[in-house]
Amino acid sequence: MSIISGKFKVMIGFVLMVATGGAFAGNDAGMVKDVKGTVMIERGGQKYSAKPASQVLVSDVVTTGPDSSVGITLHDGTLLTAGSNSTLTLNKFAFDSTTNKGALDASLKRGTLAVVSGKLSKSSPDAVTYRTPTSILGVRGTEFVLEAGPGGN
Amino acid sequence: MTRFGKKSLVWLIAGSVAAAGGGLAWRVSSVGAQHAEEALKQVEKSEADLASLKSRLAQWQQTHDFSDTAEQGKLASLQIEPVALTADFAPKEFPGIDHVLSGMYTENGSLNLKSFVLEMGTGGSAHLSILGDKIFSPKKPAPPDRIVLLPNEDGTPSAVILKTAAGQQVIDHPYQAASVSPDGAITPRKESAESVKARYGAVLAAQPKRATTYTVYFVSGKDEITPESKAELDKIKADLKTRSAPEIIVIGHTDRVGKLEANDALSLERAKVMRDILIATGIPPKLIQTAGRGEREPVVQTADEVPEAKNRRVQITVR
Repeated sequence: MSIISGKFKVMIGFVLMVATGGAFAGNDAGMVKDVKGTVMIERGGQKYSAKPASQVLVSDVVTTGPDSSVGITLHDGTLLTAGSNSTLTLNKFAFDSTTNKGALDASLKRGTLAVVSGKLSKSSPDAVTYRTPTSILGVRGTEFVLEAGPGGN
Repeated sequence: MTRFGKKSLVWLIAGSVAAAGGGLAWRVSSVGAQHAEEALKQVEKSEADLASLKSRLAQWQQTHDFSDTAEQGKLASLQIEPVALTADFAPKEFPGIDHVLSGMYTENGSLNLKSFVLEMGTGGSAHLSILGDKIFSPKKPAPPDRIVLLPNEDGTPSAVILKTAAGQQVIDHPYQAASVSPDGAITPRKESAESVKARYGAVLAAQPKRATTYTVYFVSGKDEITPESKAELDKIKADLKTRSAPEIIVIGHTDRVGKLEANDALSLERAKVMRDILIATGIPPKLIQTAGRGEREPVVQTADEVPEAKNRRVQITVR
Protein backbone atom coordinates (compact mmCIF):
# COMPACT_ATOMS: atom_id res chain seq x y z
CA MET A 1 0.00 0.00 0.00
CA SER A 2 1.58 3.24 -0.99
CA ILE A 3 1.61 6.12 1.34
CA ILE A 4 0.50 9.27 -0.41
CA SER A 5 2.72 12.08 0.75
CA GLY A 6 1.65 15.65 1.05
CA LYS A 7 3.71 16.45 -2.04
CA PHE A 8 1.28 14.75 -4.42
CA LYS A 9 -1.41 16.93 -5.83
CA VAL A 10 -4.73 15.18 -5.66
CA MET A 11 -7.21 15.61 -8.46
CA ILE A 12 -10.68 15.98 -7.09
CA GLY A 13 -12.97 14.77 -9.82
CA PHE A 14 -16.19 16.01 -8.39
CA VAL A 15 -18.86 18.33 -9.69
CA LEU A 16 -19.79 21.01 -7.22
CA MET A 17 -23.30 22.28 -6.91
CA VAL A 18 -22.19 25.86 -7.22
CA ALA A 19 -25.71 27.19 -7.82
CA THR A 20 -26.77 26.44 -4.27
CA GLY A 21 -23.53 27.68 -2.81
CA GLY A 22 -23.15 24.45 -0.94
CA ALA A 23 -19.56 23.55 -1.71
CA PHE A 24 -16.43 24.50 0.16
CA ALA A 25 -13.57 26.18 -1.70
CA GLY A 26 -11.49 23.41 -3.30
CA ASN A 27 -8.77 23.05 -0.70
CA ASP A 28 -10.45 23.85 2.58
CA ALA A 29 -11.14 20.64 4.47
CA GLY A 30 -11.56 21.40 8.13
CA MET A 31 -10.37 23.03 11.30
CA VAL A 32 -8.11 22.18 14.21
CA LYS A 33 -10.15 22.18 17.40
CA ASP A 34 -7.76 21.08 20.14
CA VAL A 35 -4.00 20.79 20.43
CA LYS A 36 -1.90 19.18 23.11
CA GLY A 37 1.91 19.21 23.04
CA THR A 38 3.71 19.46 19.68
CA VAL A 39 1.56 19.39 16.57
CA MET A 40 2.75 20.54 13.14
CA ILE A 41 1.04 20.91 9.79
CA GLU A 42 3.27 20.53 6.76
CA ARG A 43 2.00 22.28 3.67
CA GLY A 44 3.73 23.30 0.47
CA GLY A 45 7.13 22.49 1.89
CA GLN A 46 6.57 24.64 4.99
CA LYS A 47 5.78 23.60 8.54
CA TYR A 48 3.27 25.43 10.69
CA SER A 49 2.48 24.98 14.33
CA ALA A 50 -1.15 23.84 14.63
CA LYS A 51 -3.43 25.80 16.95
CA PRO A 52 -7.16 25.73 17.68
CA ALA A 53 -8.95 27.32 14.69
CA SER A 54 -6.01 26.54 12.33
CA GLN A 55 -7.29 25.60 8.90
CA VAL A 56 -6.72 22.12 7.57
CA LEU A 57 -6.32 21.89 3.81
CA VAL A 58 -6.28 18.98 1.38
CA SER A 59 -2.77 17.48 1.18
CA ASP A 60 -1.80 18.70 4.64
CA VAL A 61 0.47 16.37 6.61
CA VAL A 62 -0.27 16.59 10.32
CA THR A 63 2.41 15.31 12.68
CA THR A 64 2.35 15.00 16.44
CA GLY A 65 5.26 14.58 18.82
CA PRO A 66 5.55 12.54 21.99
CA ASP A 67 2.84 13.09 24.59
CA SER A 68 0.82 15.13 22.09
CA SER A 69 -2.53 14.99 20.38
CA VAL A 70 -4.66 16.96 17.95
CA GLY A 71 -8.42 17.05 17.38
CA ILE A 72 -9.67 18.08 13.96
CA THR A 73 -13.20 18.50 12.60
CA LEU A 74 -13.66 18.16 8.87
CA HIS A 75 -16.42 20.08 7.11
CA ASP A 76 -18.72 17.06 6.88
CA GLY A 77 -18.53 16.67 10.66
CA THR A 78 -15.89 13.92 10.71
CA LEU A 79 -13.85 14.03 13.92
CA LEU A 80 -10.21 13.05 13.50
CA THR A 81 -8.06 12.73 16.61
CA ALA A 82 -4.39 11.86 16.26
CA GLY A 83 -2.47 10.62 19.30
CA SER A 84 1.24 10.85 20.08
CA ASN A 85 3.95 10.29 17.49
CA SER A 86 1.52 10.21 14.63
CA THR A 87 1.68 11.21 11.00
CA LEU A 88 -1.61 11.81 9.19
CA THR A 89 -2.02 12.94 5.61
CA LEU A 90 -5.33 14.24 4.26
CA ASN A 91 -5.06 13.04 0.69
CA LYS A 92 -8.52 13.92 -0.51
CA PHE A 93 -11.47 15.84 0.86
CA ALA A 94 -14.51 17.24 -0.89
CA PHE A 95 -17.94 17.87 0.60
CA ASP A 96 -21.04 19.46 -0.88
CA SER A 97 -23.25 20.68 1.97
CA THR A 98 -26.38 20.67 -0.20
CA THR A 99 -26.15 17.08 -1.38
CA ASN A 100 -23.86 15.73 1.40
CA LYS A 101 -21.83 14.02 -1.29
CA GLY A 102 -18.09 14.06 -1.77
CA ALA A 103 -14.94 12.09 -0.96
CA LEU A 104 -12.44 11.58 1.82
CA ASP A 105 -9.14 9.73 1.82
CA ALA A 106 -6.62 9.94 4.64
CA SER A 107 -3.44 8.01 5.43
CA LEU A 108 -2.09 7.21 8.85
CA LYS A 109 1.59 6.52 8.24
CA ARG A 110 2.35 5.95 11.91
CA GLY A 111 0.72 6.49 15.28
CA THR A 112 -2.91 6.39 16.33
CA LEU A 113 -6.06 7.90 14.82
CA ALA A 114 -9.51 7.89 16.37
CA VAL A 115 -12.29 8.62 13.90
CA VAL A 116 -15.92 9.58 14.32
CA SER A 117 -17.37 9.50 10.82
CA GLY A 118 -19.35 12.42 9.47
CA LYS A 119 -21.96 12.94 6.80
CA LEU A 120 -19.82 11.74 3.89
CA SER A 121 -19.67 8.15 5.02
CA LYS A 122 -23.44 8.08 5.56
CA SER A 123 -24.32 9.33 2.12
CA SER A 124 -21.32 8.17 0.08
CA PRO A 125 -19.94 5.13 1.92
CA ASP A 126 -17.68 4.07 -0.94
CA ALA A 127 -16.16 7.52 -1.07
CA VAL A 128 -14.53 7.39 2.34
CA THR A 129 -11.26 5.50 2.87
CA TYR A 130 -8.54 5.46 5.46
CA ARG A 131 -5.11 3.92 4.93
CA THR A 132 -2.27 2.54 7.01
CA PRO A 133 0.97 1.09 5.65
CA THR A 134 -0.70 -2.33 5.37
CA SER A 135 -4.42 -1.65 5.04
CA ILE A 136 -7.20 0.21 3.28
CA LEU A 137 -10.41 0.72 5.22
CA GLY A 138 -13.81 1.41 3.76
CA VAL A 139 -16.12 3.07 6.23
CA ARG A 140 -19.87 2.86 6.76
CA GLY A 141 -20.90 5.45 9.32
CA THR A 142 -18.69 4.38 12.16
CA GLU A 143 -16.44 5.21 15.03
CA PHE A 144 -13.14 3.40 15.14
CA VAL A 145 -9.49 3.60 16.16
CA LEU A 146 -6.62 2.94 13.76
CA GLU A 147 -3.06 2.23 14.68
CA ALA A 148 -0.08 2.18 12.32
CA GLY A 149 3.04 0.48 13.61
CA PRO A 150 3.86 1.40 17.18
CA GLY A 151 0.90 3.35 18.47
CA GLY A 152 -1.56 3.37 21.34
CA ASN A 153 -2.23 6.61 23.22
CA MET B 1 20.36 -14.86 13.43
CA THR B 2 20.63 -15.51 17.08
CA ARG B 3 17.38 -15.15 18.95
CA PHE B 4 17.33 -12.28 21.35
CA GLY B 5 16.43 -12.02 24.93
CA LYS B 6 13.59 -10.47 26.80
CA LYS B 7 15.73 -7.92 28.60
CA SER B 8 17.19 -5.05 26.73
CA LEU B 9 20.91 -4.75 26.81
CA VAL B 10 22.98 -1.74 26.18
CA TRP B 11 25.86 -2.26 23.82
CA LEU B 12 28.73 0.07 23.98
CA ILE B 13 30.88 -0.02 20.94
CA ALA B 14 34.02 1.87 20.43
CA GLY B 15 36.58 1.74 17.71
CA SER B 16 39.86 3.24 16.85
CA VAL B 17 41.45 4.28 13.65
CA ALA B 18 44.70 2.52 12.96
CA ALA B 19 47.56 4.85 12.40
CA ALA B 20 48.34 3.46 8.97
CA GLY B 21 46.88 1.24 6.26
CA GLY B 22 43.35 2.56 6.34
CA GLY B 23 42.09 -0.34 8.34
CA LEU B 24 40.11 -0.10 11.53
CA ALA B 25 40.59 -1.92 14.72
CA TRP B 26 37.98 -2.77 17.26
CA ARG B 27 37.77 -4.14 20.60
CA VAL B 28 34.21 -4.80 21.50
CA SER B 29 32.60 -5.30 24.81
CA SER B 30 28.98 -6.03 25.24
CA VAL B 31 27.81 -4.91 28.60
CA GLY B 32 24.82 -4.21 30.70
CA ALA B 33 23.96 -0.54 31.06
CA GLN B 34 25.59 -0.37 34.44
CA HIS B 35 28.91 -1.50 33.05
CA ALA B 36 29.15 1.08 30.29
CA GLU B 37 31.80 3.06 32.13
CA GLU B 38 34.02 0.03 32.56
CA ALA B 39 33.60 -0.91 28.92
CA LEU B 40 34.91 2.46 27.88
CA LYS B 41 38.11 1.79 29.72
CA GLN B 42 38.59 -1.47 27.88
CA VAL B 43 38.85 0.06 24.44
CA GLU B 44 42.20 -0.35 22.85
CA LYS B 45 43.77 -0.65 19.46
CA SER B 46 44.80 -3.78 17.67
CA GLU B 47 44.42 -5.52 14.31
CA ALA B 48 43.22 -8.77 12.74
CA ASP B 49 41.63 -9.81 9.43
CA LEU B 50 38.07 -9.67 8.14
CA ALA B 51 37.63 -13.36 7.55
CA SER B 52 38.67 -14.05 11.06
CA LEU B 53 36.11 -11.56 12.36
CA LYS B 54 33.33 -13.05 10.34
CA SER B 55 34.15 -16.50 11.51
CA ARG B 56 34.24 -15.35 15.10
CA LEU B 57 30.92 -13.57 14.75
CA ALA B 58 29.36 -16.64 13.19
CA GLN B 59 30.56 -18.74 16.07
CA TRP B 60 29.32 -16.15 18.48
CA GLN B 61 25.86 -16.29 17.00
CA GLN B 62 25.76 -20.05 17.09
CA THR B 63 27.01 -20.42 20.59
CA HIS B 64 25.04 -17.72 22.32
CA ASP B 65 21.32 -17.90 22.81
CA PHE B 66 20.45 -14.49 24.17
CA SER B 67 16.95 -15.48 25.17
CA ASP B 68 18.61 -17.11 28.12
CA THR B 69 19.07 -14.60 30.91
CA ALA B 70 22.01 -16.58 32.23
CA GLU B 71 23.65 -16.03 28.87
CA GLN B 72 22.99 -12.35 29.22
CA GLY B 73 25.03 -12.36 32.39
CA LYS B 74 27.87 -14.07 30.56
CA LEU B 75 27.52 -11.58 27.77
CA ALA B 76 28.64 -8.87 30.11
CA SER B 77 32.12 -10.23 30.03
CA LEU B 78 32.26 -11.41 26.42
CA GLN B 79 34.81 -9.67 24.31
CA ILE B 80 35.50 -10.06 20.64
CA GLU B 81 39.15 -10.11 19.85
CA PRO B 82 40.49 -7.24 17.89
CA VAL B 83 40.06 -7.14 14.15
CA ALA B 84 40.88 -4.79 11.33
CA LEU B 85 38.39 -4.18 8.57
CA THR B 86 38.55 -2.91 5.07
CA ALA B 87 36.54 -0.02 3.73
CA ASP B 88 34.78 -2.15 1.16
CA PHE B 89 33.03 -4.44 3.60
CA ALA B 90 29.61 -5.27 2.23
CA PRO B 91 26.58 -5.14 4.55
CA LYS B 92 24.70 -7.57 2.35
CA GLU B 93 26.79 -10.36 3.80
CA PHE B 94 24.68 -10.04 6.91
CA PRO B 95 21.10 -10.35 5.71
CA GLY B 96 18.26 -8.55 7.43
CA ILE B 97 20.45 -5.69 8.49
CA ASP B 98 19.33 -2.17 7.97
CA HIS B 99 20.33 -0.16 11.00
CA VAL B 100 23.78 1.35 11.04
CA LEU B 101 25.54 3.17 13.79
CA SER B 102 28.98 4.51 13.53
CA GLY B 103 31.58 5.65 15.95
CA MET B 104 35.15 6.71 15.84
CA TYR B 105 37.93 6.90 18.33
CA THR B 106 39.88 10.01 17.47
CA GLU B 107 43.59 10.31 17.21
CA ASN B 108 44.09 12.37 20.30
CA GLY B 109 42.63 9.57 22.36
CA SER B 110 39.27 11.00 23.22
CA LEU B 111 36.22 8.92 22.55
CA ASN B 112 34.11 10.38 19.81
CA LEU B 113 31.11 8.27 19.08
CA LYS B 114 28.38 9.47 16.82
CA SER B 115 26.09 6.98 18.33
CA PHE B 116 27.45 4.62 20.84
CA VAL B 117 24.47 3.02 22.42
CA LEU B 118 22.14 0.63 20.71
CA GLU B 119 19.40 -0.55 22.95
CA MET B 120 18.01 -3.86 21.84
CA GLY B 121 14.28 -4.12 22.13
CA THR B 122 12.62 -6.66 24.34
CA GLY B 123 11.89 -9.84 22.43
CA GLY B 124 13.43 -8.45 19.27
CA SER B 125 15.81 -10.31 17.02
CA ALA B 126 18.58 -7.75 17.26
CA HIS B 127 22.07 -9.01 16.90
CA LEU B 128 25.06 -6.81 16.46
CA SER B 129 27.78 -7.34 13.95
CA ILE B 130 30.65 -5.01 14.37
CA LEU B 131 32.66 -4.26 11.34
CA GLY B 132 35.03 -1.41 10.94
CA ASP B 133 33.39 1.77 11.93
CA LYS B 134 29.96 0.38 11.29
CA ILE B 135 27.67 -1.61 13.46
CA PHE B 136 24.96 -3.64 11.87
CA SER B 137 21.81 -4.86 13.41
CA PRO B 138 18.94 -6.76 11.85
CA LYS B 139 15.70 -4.89 11.40
CA LYS B 140 13.33 -5.24 14.32
CA PRO B 141 10.10 -6.87 13.22
CA ALA B 142 7.57 -4.11 12.64
CA PRO B 143 4.65 -4.03 15.03
CA PRO B 144 1.29 -4.74 13.38
CA ASP B 145 -1.25 -2.17 12.29
CA ARG B 146 -4.50 -2.35 14.20
CA ILE B 147 -8.15 -1.43 13.80
CA VAL B 148 -10.93 -1.62 16.37
CA LEU B 149 -14.57 -0.71 15.71
CA LEU B 150 -16.26 1.30 18.43
CA PRO B 151 -20.01 1.36 19.08
CA ASN B 152 -21.93 4.29 17.59
CA GLU B 153 -23.18 6.72 20.22
CA ASP B 154 -26.74 6.32 18.95
CA GLY B 155 -26.47 2.54 18.78
CA THR B 156 -26.98 2.32 15.02
CA PRO B 157 -25.10 -0.42 13.19
CA SER B 158 -21.81 0.34 11.52
CA ALA B 159 -18.97 -1.44 9.73
CA VAL B 160 -15.42 -1.08 8.51
CA ILE B 161 -14.23 -3.12 5.53
CA LEU B 162 -10.57 -3.93 5.90
CA LYS B 163 -8.52 -4.75 2.80
CA THR B 164 -4.89 -5.78 2.82
CA ALA B 165 -2.45 -7.41 0.41
CA ALA B 166 -3.39 -10.76 1.90
CA GLY B 167 -7.16 -10.54 2.11
CA GLN B 168 -10.25 -8.82 3.40
CA GLN B 169 -12.24 -8.66 6.60
CA VAL B 170 -15.60 -7.09 7.46
CA ILE B 171 -15.63 -5.66 10.96
CA ASP B 172 -19.19 -4.89 12.01
CA HIS B 173 -19.62 -5.61 15.71
CA PRO B 174 -18.69 -3.13 18.42
CA TYR B 175 -15.19 -3.87 19.74
CA GLN B 176 -14.49 -6.29 16.91
CA ALA B 177 -10.90 -5.70 15.87
CA ALA B 178 -8.00 -6.90 13.74
CA SER B 179 -4.26 -6.62 13.57
CA VAL B 180 -2.38 -6.62 10.28
CA SER B 181 1.23 -7.72 9.96
CA PRO B 182 3.58 -6.06 7.44
CA ASP B 183 2.83 -8.72 4.83
CA GLY B 184 -0.90 -8.03 5.11
CA ALA B 185 -1.90 -11.11 7.10
CA ILE B 186 -5.05 -10.31 9.09
CA THR B 187 -5.47 -11.62 12.62
CA PRO B 188 -9.01 -11.16 13.97
CA ARG B 189 -9.20 -9.82 17.51
CA LYS B 190 -11.82 -8.93 20.04
CA GLU B 191 -11.37 -5.85 22.17
CA SER B 192 -13.56 -4.56 24.98
CA ALA B 193 -14.47 -1.19 26.43
CA GLU B 194 -11.76 -1.79 29.03
CA SER B 195 -9.02 -2.79 26.62
CA VAL B 196 -9.85 0.15 24.35
CA LYS B 197 -9.66 2.53 27.28
CA ALA B 198 -6.32 1.06 28.35
CA ARG B 199 -4.73 1.33 24.95
CA TYR B 200 -6.48 4.37 23.48
CA GLY B 201 -7.82 6.26 26.48
CA ALA B 202 -5.69 9.34 25.91
CA VAL B 203 -6.48 9.62 22.19
CA LEU B 204 -10.20 9.21 22.82
CA ALA B 205 -10.09 11.79 25.60
CA ALA B 206 -8.49 14.20 23.13
CA GLN B 207 -11.38 13.96 20.66
CA PRO B 208 -13.03 17.28 19.83
CA LYS B 209 -16.27 17.91 21.64
CA ARG B 210 -19.13 16.42 19.65
CA ALA B 211 -21.47 18.65 17.73
CA THR B 212 -24.86 19.66 19.07
CA THR B 213 -27.73 20.38 16.70
CA TYR B 214 -30.65 22.69 17.51
CA THR B 215 -33.84 22.92 15.48
CA VAL B 216 -35.50 26.26 14.92
CA TYR B 217 -38.82 27.15 13.25
CA PHE B 218 -40.01 30.31 11.57
CA VAL B 219 -43.40 31.82 12.17
CA SER B 220 -45.34 30.78 9.09
CA GLY B 221 -44.58 33.06 6.15
CA LYS B 222 -42.42 35.46 8.15
CA ASP B 223 -38.74 36.11 8.69
CA GLU B 224 -39.03 35.75 12.41
CA ILE B 225 -38.62 32.67 14.55
CA THR B 226 -41.16 31.23 16.95
CA PRO B 227 -40.97 32.04 20.66
CA GLU B 228 -39.92 28.46 21.43
CA SER B 229 -37.08 28.82 18.97
CA LYS B 230 -35.89 31.96 20.68
CA ALA B 231 -35.09 29.84 23.71
CA GLU B 232 -32.87 27.73 21.50
CA LEU B 233 -30.85 30.81 20.61
CA ASP B 234 -29.87 31.25 24.24
CA LYS B 235 -28.70 27.64 24.35
CA ILE B 236 -26.70 28.18 21.19
CA LYS B 237 -24.93 31.19 22.60
CA ALA B 238 -24.10 29.31 25.78
CA ASP B 239 -22.88 26.33 23.77
CA LEU B 240 -20.56 28.52 21.71
CA LYS B 241 -18.71 29.54 24.82
CA THR B 242 -17.78 25.94 25.58
CA ARG B 243 -15.95 25.43 22.28
CA SER B 244 -12.28 26.16 21.74
CA ALA B 245 -12.61 26.92 18.03
CA PRO B 246 -16.33 27.27 17.43
CA GLU B 247 -18.21 26.90 14.17
CA ILE B 248 -21.92 27.25 13.54
CA ILE B 249 -23.48 25.45 10.59
CA VAL B 250 -26.95 26.68 9.65
CA ILE B 251 -28.87 24.36 7.36
CA GLY B 252 -32.30 25.11 5.95
CA HIS B 253 -34.86 22.43 5.07
CA THR B 254 -38.21 22.51 3.30
CA ASP B 255 -41.18 20.19 2.91
CA ARG B 256 -42.06 18.69 -0.47
CA VAL B 257 -44.31 21.46 -1.68
CA GLY B 258 -42.69 23.00 -4.76
CA LYS B 259 -39.98 21.97 -7.17
CA LEU B 260 -36.66 20.49 -6.05
CA GLU B 261 -34.56 23.39 -7.29
CA ALA B 262 -36.92 25.96 -5.83
CA ASN B 263 -36.76 24.22 -2.47
CA ASP B 264 -32.96 24.17 -2.63
CA ALA B 265 -32.99 27.93 -3.10
CA LEU B 266 -35.71 28.51 -0.50
CA SER B 267 -33.95 26.43 2.14
CA LEU B 268 -30.69 28.29 1.57
CA GLU B 269 -32.54 31.59 1.82
CA ARG B 270 -34.06 30.54 5.15
CA ALA B 271 -30.59 29.57 6.39
CA LYS B 272 -29.29 33.02 5.49
CA VAL B 273 -32.16 34.74 7.30
CA MET B 274 -31.33 32.60 10.30
CA ARG B 275 -27.71 33.62 9.99
CA ASP B 276 -28.73 37.28 10.14
CA ILE B 277 -30.78 36.60 13.27
CA LEU B 278 -27.75 34.94 14.90
CA ILE B 279 -25.50 37.84 13.97
CA ALA B 280 -28.04 40.26 15.45
CA THR B 281 -27.64 38.44 18.79
CA GLY B 282 -23.93 39.22 18.73
CA ILE B 283 -22.43 36.11 17.19
CA PRO B 284 -19.44 36.92 14.92
CA PRO B 285 -20.37 36.39 11.25
CA LYS B 286 -17.21 34.51 10.42
CA LEU B 287 -18.24 31.63 12.69
CA ILE B 288 -21.37 30.96 10.65
CA GLN B 289 -21.73 28.82 7.52
CA THR B 290 -25.01 28.35 5.68
CA ALA B 291 -26.43 25.65 3.43
CA GLY B 292 -29.78 24.62 2.01
CA ARG B 293 -30.69 20.97 1.74
CA GLY B 294 -34.09 21.50 0.14
CA GLU B 295 -36.39 18.51 0.44
CA ARG B 296 -33.65 15.97 0.98
CA GLU B 297 -33.79 15.43 4.71
CA PRO B 298 -37.38 15.43 6.01
CA VAL B 299 -38.14 14.70 9.65
CA VAL B 300 -41.51 13.32 8.59
CA GLN B 301 -41.76 11.37 5.33
CA THR B 302 -44.57 12.58 3.07
CA ALA B 303 -45.70 12.17 -0.51
CA ASP B 304 -44.60 14.81 -2.98
CA GLU B 305 -46.39 18.19 -2.75
CA VAL B 306 -47.75 17.45 0.71
CA PRO B 307 -47.14 20.30 3.18
CA GLU B 308 -45.59 19.36 6.49
CA ALA B 309 -44.65 22.06 8.98
CA LYS B 310 -42.27 19.80 10.87
CA ASN B 311 -40.05 19.55 7.82
CA ARG B 312 -39.90 23.32 7.30
CA ARG B 313 -37.13 24.04 9.71
CA VAL B 314 -33.58 25.29 10.17
CA GLN B 315 -30.98 23.15 11.89
CA ILE B 316 -28.21 24.96 13.70
CA THR B 317 -25.17 22.83 14.51
CA VAL B 318 -22.56 24.09 16.94
CA ARG B 319 -19.21 22.32 16.88
